[in-house]
Amino acid sequence: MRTSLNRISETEQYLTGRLRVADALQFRAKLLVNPSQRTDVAAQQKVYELVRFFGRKKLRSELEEIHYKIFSDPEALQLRREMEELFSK
Amino acid sequence: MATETQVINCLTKDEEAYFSFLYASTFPGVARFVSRHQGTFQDAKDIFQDALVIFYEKTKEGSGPVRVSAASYIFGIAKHLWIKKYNRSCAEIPLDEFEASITIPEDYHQTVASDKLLHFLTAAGEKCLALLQAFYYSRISVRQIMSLFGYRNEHTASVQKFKCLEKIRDKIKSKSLHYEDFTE
Repeated sequence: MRTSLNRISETEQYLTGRLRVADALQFRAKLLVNPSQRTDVAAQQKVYELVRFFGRKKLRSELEEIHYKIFSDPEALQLRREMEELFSK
Repeated sequence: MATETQVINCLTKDEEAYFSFLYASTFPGVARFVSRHQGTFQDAKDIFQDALVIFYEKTKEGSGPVRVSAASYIFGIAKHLWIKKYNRSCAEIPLDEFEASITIPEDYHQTVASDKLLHFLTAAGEKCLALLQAFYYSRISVRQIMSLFGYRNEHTASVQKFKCLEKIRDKIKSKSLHYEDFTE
């Protein structure tokens, strides 16, 4: 794997607390004196947040489909009635 | 096999069946709770689906329910979300010991400027997003990822994952986006 990808892998291990203590300290020391590496780490952190954000959005849409399937099932008449009753006041 | 247009679901077929069961069996209880606290049906649906998402994430992380049922866990999460959303106190909505121990991810309700992000990720390629979601969000096994995306071995899948990470990371850097750009 090329160096840049190895750095991404190491950053990931650092961010997820999987580096050995000595390696983590060394990594953090490098960050202190290297602003461009700090930017890289912050940006990589952002990627994980984005993935989580879109993962949640995707999962919500799948749950919405499940909701629709349940509530449009003819067998769910009692459930629908209960919901209407609960929220009609 | 995933193509540029194919989307990988968060839920596998088995998970979909399980979540459908959880939905049908647990939603009514949450709906009753929300109704007792002057919420609407939409409130109940939102809170419940949020609770299921958090339940999904916790299960993937290995902090799923141990001594309680999935239903109790989900209900506990929903109560927490309700308290947080409407700034209710624990005096108004009592939590038992287990419910009180549940934590909600800090970044769960952060609103994001999704147009900007969508542009980002479309530029990086939907396949990259699908791959990263499979690895990091759905935590699909490497073997399954290999078969879904057509990679010959684990190493190739891993390299592609890091390449995608790098690609999107560089896009973020090149736009010099700060945290504020992602929130509304």
